[in-house]
Amino acid sequence: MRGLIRAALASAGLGMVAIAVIARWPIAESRDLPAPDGDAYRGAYLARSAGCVACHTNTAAGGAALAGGKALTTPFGSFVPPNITADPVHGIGDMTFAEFAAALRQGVRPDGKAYYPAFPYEFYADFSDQDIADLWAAIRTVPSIAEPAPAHDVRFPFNMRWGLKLWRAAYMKPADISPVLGKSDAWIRGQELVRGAAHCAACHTGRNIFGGLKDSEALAGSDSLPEGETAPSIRPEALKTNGWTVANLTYALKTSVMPNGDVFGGSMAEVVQTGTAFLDEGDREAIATYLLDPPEATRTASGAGASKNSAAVELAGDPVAETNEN
Amino acid sequence: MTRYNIFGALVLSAIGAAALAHNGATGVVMERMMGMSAMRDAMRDIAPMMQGQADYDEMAVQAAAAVLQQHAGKTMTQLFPEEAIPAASYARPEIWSNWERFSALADELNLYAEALAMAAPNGLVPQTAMTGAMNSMDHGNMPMQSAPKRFSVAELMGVEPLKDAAPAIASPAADETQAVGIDFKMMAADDVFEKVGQTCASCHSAFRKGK
Ligand code: HEC
Ligand code: HEC
Ligand code: HEC
Repeated sequence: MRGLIRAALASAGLGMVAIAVIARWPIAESRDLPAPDGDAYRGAYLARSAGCVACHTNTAAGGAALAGGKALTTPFGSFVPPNITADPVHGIGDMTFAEFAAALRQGVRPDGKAYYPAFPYEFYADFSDQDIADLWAAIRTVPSIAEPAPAHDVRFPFNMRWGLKLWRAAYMKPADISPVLGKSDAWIRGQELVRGAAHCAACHTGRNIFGGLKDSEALAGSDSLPEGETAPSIRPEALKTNGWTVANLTYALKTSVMPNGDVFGGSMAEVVQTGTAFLDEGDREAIATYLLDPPEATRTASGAGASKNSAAVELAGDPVAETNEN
Repeated sequence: MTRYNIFGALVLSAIGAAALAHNGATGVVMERMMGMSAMRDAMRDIAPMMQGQADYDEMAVQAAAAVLQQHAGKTMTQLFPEEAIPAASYARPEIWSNWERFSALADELNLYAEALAMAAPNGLVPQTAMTGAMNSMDHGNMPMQSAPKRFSVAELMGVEPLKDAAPAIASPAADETQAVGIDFKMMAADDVFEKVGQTCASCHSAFRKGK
């Protein structure tokens, strides 16, 4: 099915009938979702780790919390993270709990259409009902703002939301987070943050021309970030080549100071300042522990049986593994 | 090849290597890159101490603080004259459209560099048994440790500014240590070092282009 949809996406020859069918194709798994009691502190901690606060607040312009973020400029157009305060008209106050959950875990709007992947819901697919209830409670502690954020400015054909359903079907890869035998609790927690909430792959994994993440290049770096930025590889071999250790990576996620004495710039400095600097030390260490020792699958596409050394050699010859050496 | 030519080639390639290290920059761009690189090396030298990964050496911290002071504040800003940005430079045009913030950050760096020198004799905050507390088995989306909550809900949600953050330094007042209401002589060196790093990062995220 995926292959088929991808082929359809690639060939521009979609007729009107197909569009009409796709436009009606229901994508949300509708289910009655009772709202569990949410814990605002847990939710606020999660909203920080997951970047909700960072993206949906325009701090640079002095905007109110969650009232709408700075536009994300991409090759597809510019996306403005909307007002997600509890205001019923301009925010998300009129969403039901089930709709809020469908938005986060499935990327589906209350009207059944899909959200743009500029909203990194792929990484939130693993959130539990409790996580969502906690987020819901945390959002409700924030003063409502009765003003809409500016509209997106997305170019054709990407401004056609029905196309997003195809995109979702073809490329959405819900975060795959599963316990791995023989790994420490810190490692498991790190996996959950890196592959889920903290969505490191959203910037550090390459994307195809449709904006879908390339599996085979997981965390190997990307040059398709908003504003034309580049993010280097954060695979273990690349990290080790650049002098990263669990201790100094943990430290950098709080302070931005890199092992060579330079500091993070661009969006990574923001990730730290508005995100990982708020985490507990144990969580930063968990991220570092996981990144410096991920499971075989993320090492290399072909390296299932490869030893650590040969994987390192492979990566050393890979231009994306080469990172900022000044 | 004559001896003279070989010598000339050696000199040229040495210059070439130095220039390439800074993306082929010349003039004032080259100068500011060298200043930045000197600060980078100073940071690199003391970072492991600040992380508790190397023995604390007060003299080394003083030396690094001196390097930072030498390149921060006015010394830094005067190396950013308003001009068309040469290809070799990673400077962003916002430097000149938002000069006030840019120069405030350069001053802030100067302030924290002075503060680092003042705090150097204090050494590090005593390390608490941090990682021993990582025992959560349920792997829910929650912090690993059950340490005291560092931030309030309002801080986490961006509703309130951080309590432990130094107030933004609007204008460097006559007595700078007073202006921010923090007595740096009382602060642990690694806390001040963090502020230094955050100041470098704040400026870079707004005013330095990525690669
Ligand atoms: C990288 C930036 C980014 C991050 C991180 C992010 N969002 Fe969003 N969010 C967006 C954008 C952009 C949209 C608009 C998508 C669209 O219009 O299709 C959006 C849409 C939404 C919506 C739908 C609003 C509506 O009016 O329909 C909700 C709810 C939401 N986000 C909540 C969250 C929560 C909760 C988190 C954290 C778990 C989060 N977002 C993290 C960028 C982001
Ligand atoms: C919004 C995009 C974005 C996200 C999300 C992001 N990064 Fe980055 N990251 C970058 C960019 C851009 C750079 C390059 C920074 C620079 O030029 O100084 C970078 C650089 C890095 C580096 C430096 C690598 C090196 O050796 O130079 C590390 C380590 C890193 N990121 C880790 C992470 C981790 C861990 C996460 C998830 C918690 C993460 N990043 C999430 C954009 C991002
Ligand atoms: C007030 C703003 C500001 C502050 C503070 C600042 N920098 Fe920079 N830095 C810049 C800008 C702008 C550039 C790009 C200069 C250019 O390419 O023309 C830069 C470039 C650099 C470079 C690259 C030099 C090269 O050879 O290309 C390094 C390394 C660096 N900075 C380190 C640091 C460190 C370490 C600190 C803190 C101790 C720091 N900077 C503080 C603005 C700042």
